[in-house]
Amino acid sequence: MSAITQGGSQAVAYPARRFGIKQRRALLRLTIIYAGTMVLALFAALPMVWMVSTAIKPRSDVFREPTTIIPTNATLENFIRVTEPLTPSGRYFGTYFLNSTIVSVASSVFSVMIAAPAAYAFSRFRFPGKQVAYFAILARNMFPLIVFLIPLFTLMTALQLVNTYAGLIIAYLTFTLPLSIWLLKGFFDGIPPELERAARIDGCTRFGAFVRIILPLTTPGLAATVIYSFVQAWNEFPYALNLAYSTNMRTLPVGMTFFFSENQSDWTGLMATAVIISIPVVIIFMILQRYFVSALTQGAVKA
Amino acid sequence: MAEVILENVVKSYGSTLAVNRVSLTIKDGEFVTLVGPSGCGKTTTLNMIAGLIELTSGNIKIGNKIVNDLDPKDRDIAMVFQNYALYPHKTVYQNLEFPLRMRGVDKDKRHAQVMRAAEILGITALLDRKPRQLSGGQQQRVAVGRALVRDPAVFLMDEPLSNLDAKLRVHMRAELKHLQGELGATVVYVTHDQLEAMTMSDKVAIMNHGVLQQYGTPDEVFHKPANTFVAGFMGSPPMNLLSTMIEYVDGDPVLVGDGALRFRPKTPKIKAALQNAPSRRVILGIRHTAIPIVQNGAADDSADSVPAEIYTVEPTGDVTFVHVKVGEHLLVSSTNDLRFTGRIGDQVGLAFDESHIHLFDTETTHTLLN
Repeated sequence: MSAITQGGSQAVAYPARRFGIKQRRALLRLTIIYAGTMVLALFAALPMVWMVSTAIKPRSDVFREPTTIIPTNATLENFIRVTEPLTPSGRYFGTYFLNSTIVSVASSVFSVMIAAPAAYAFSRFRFPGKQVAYFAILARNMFPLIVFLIPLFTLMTALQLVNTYAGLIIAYLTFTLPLSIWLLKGFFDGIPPELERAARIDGCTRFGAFVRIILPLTTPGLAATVIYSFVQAWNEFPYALNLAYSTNMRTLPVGMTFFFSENQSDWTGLMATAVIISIPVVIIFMILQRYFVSALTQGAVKA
Repeated sequence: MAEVILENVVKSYGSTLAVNRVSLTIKDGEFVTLVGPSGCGKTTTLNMIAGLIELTSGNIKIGNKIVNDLDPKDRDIAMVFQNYALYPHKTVYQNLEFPLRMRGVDKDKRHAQVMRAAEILGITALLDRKPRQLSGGQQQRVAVGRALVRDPAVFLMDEPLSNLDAKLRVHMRAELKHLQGELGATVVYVTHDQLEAMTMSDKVAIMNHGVLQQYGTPDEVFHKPANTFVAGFMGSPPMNLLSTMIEYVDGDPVLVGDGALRFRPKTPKIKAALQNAPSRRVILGIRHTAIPIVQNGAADDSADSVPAEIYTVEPTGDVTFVHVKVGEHLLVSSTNDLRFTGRIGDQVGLAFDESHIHLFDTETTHTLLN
């Protein structure tokens, strides 16, 4: 509103048409940008609002008409019910949570540990078959996850890794590694090779230069790799469902499905669990967010 | 400080020779410049001395020790890079300290040496800053500081001044040279700028296509170029190189070029060189200073004066370069006469100064003199 008033008063002092059009255009642009942003924000936020809203409703209120976003009788009863080891619905929560944590943390750690040297090699060294190998790694991401489920299952059966952490972690690395390698290669490409040459002359070995000079400069990329791998592994469903199906190996997303079969569609329990599952991701994002954003933008410029 | 010796150093990438049998001796305390056009192998040579690139064959000795297989860190060298290669995540202090820290120097000694280097270069006020907060000139100083902080045997510098603006470059050129003299440091310096090579070096090594063309003092390479490449590369504007034929008049050799270009030498040395030339085609080399313009060339009755037509005039203030045409030859001459009024198309005369001419073999491009 203030912009319009200002334009009106200045139109007296300046040639009216020129200034008016400029200002109207700017206003129109802003309106479009804000409207678009709001639609997108609603699109992203509404399911989460609904999730939280349902999670704090008493079970009896879920289907009450008219539907309310802000519950009249807010309660934490659902959270207690799904996490309490002595209730039927909360019995395995601890096990699932531990499984998810182990698998996700290991996936993200191994992703960084493998992707960083691999990306460095792709960025710096010349070796036979480099282009083919790089393409082969990226080609993995051209197919949907589910395409590889049966081959992976056969492989894991042969290796006797079904229903083990190792099996699931290896399966997760098949999709976290390609993106991590690609992302980190972009970072290494952006670091002038003179920096590590200088480090080698200043007294580092090749590996020392990588650890002391190159890796610290890649912190945003490493953080992005950690977040991406962790979130992907934490949320993953089809591989977990098929490669880790025994009760004591299930992860949280798989465990959530049992709110339907065991308790006849326990919506409040499901949503309460969903809220709890989201919390670690939110926390990790809040800690590493600024690195993640700069990683994505830098990668975009340099790739 | 130490001597650096290159013996038949070769670097090949597949079938291409980047550096071809280069031999050089860089004496203790000398400032030696490797100069040449881009792709001539000068940076590759420097990187081989540094140990960043492996030799294909040959030997490199630093202080009488063969270092071919030593890691860069074990060669006791320091290097300044064209883009400075300062560690962006470290402060100036940490950058200067890094080479000492890597060599396990204890903290107090590190501090003393960092402060000494910072003082020499006048960067004590910048020690807490990060490289991106510095100007180009300041970054350059820090890069030099990181090199001299630990008294290496040899300093290697890869076009350290080329990212500075023209004014600062001239200033830093003088400063670097002064510093080198004061420290008595052995420096191997790479540049593509022949003026930098001339002004800074004790000795200049001119390279082209991976081959060492000539190695000598600036005076030698300027006044006694070994071949047409050196003659054309050193000096600005470059030496005039004219394709001529030897003819004999009354038994004396005369160089005949296109148009009215005739040059009849009088000195026995040049006569002898022409008589002994392997072919009748020779290249006559002459710098602009040795063919001064004679304003009224057409009226000049001196037998040595060659008539020419002005192609263009380039006044630079103290010297005026005059491009002239003699037949098909395009030459650069010059005059110190501030009242020079020649215009395009004017007829002038060129006086050849016989004591400053050069003769080169057309086939090999090598000099025919000395």
